[in-house]
Amino acid sequence: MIAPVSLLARLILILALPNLATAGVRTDWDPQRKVRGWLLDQEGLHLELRQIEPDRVRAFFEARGFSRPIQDRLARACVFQTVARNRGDRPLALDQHRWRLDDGRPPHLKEAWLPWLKGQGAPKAARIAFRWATFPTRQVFAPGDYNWGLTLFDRPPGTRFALRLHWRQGGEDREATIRDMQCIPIAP
Amino acid sequence: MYPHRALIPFSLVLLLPAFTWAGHGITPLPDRPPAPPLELKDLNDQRYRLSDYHGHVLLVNFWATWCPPCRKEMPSMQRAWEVLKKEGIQFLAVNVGEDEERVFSFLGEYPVDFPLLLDQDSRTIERWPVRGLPTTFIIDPQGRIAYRAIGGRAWDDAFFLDLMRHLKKP
Repeated sequence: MIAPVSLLARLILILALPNLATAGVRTDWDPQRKVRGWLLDQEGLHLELRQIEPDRVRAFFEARGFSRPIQDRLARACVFQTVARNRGDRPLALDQHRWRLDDGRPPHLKEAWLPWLKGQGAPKAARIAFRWATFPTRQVFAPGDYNWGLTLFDRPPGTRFALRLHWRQGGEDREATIRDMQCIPIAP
Repeated sequence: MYPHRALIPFSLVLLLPAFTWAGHGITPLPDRPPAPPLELKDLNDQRYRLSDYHGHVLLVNFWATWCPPCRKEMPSMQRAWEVLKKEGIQFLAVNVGEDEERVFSFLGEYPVDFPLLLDQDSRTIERWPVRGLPTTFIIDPQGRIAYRAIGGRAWDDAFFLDLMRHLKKP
């Protein structure tokens, strides 16, 4: 038989779980650029995801040698500046294949973009820049290591989503969910 | 007609973390794996081979002109080079995926006089354990990777100068 107090404690725990999963998340807002950022600090992982304006995405990829149609496609791909740092004292492994949006799919990763870019006739130099400008799909971070790059979620502009993150810290699986993220809206 | 073009000069900001993380630490590689091969030409068509540096401490930096932390750390690398070249420590910076013209223009803004090598087809970087730009390796006199730094650093900091000097000692 479960005591009423214990039942109440369990109920409180169950109700609190979603919040615990996002306890380490902060948001910020850049009023000049009008972009929002989501910052997670949990279990040794510091992760920043910030919206990037479509015009800025176009400008970057035009300067790298991509054609106008490719720039336009990438500008609508829900691009986030991504920074990760291992603030723990054990190795931290990130694998974006294991990240999930609430539609059950991962971000659209560079391994999928690169053949598409090649098929679109993008110059090799531009594809090399794309490869190195995008966030590494898999990386092991030693304590203190950080890295940065672009993550292209490739959901329609304005889409709201929750992002379930997975990483390994010292060989142990870790998870967290960042709720109420949004692809930057594009004015019609 | 193309309003985004006004942003092209500022487009590197797209890749710049909101607060710049110039890392202070560096990761030692305890097993010191042998450095992968490297044989590339510079802007003057002069060929450089890693094997030519056996017996020397060598800094190898992978970078690109569009990478903001790469640009930011380059002047500090030049200052470190000015101090360390007299002590026999060598620097090589490998540009990834860009052509001579773009690297030459970069030199107008960021004058450096250590060798800038061109890895235009990215074959060299693919053989090195690089996951992001910039990444810098410190190679010991036996040709092994002793340290790795991902992200920009202030290379003229006394900590890094002493670390490279220390590697010279047998």
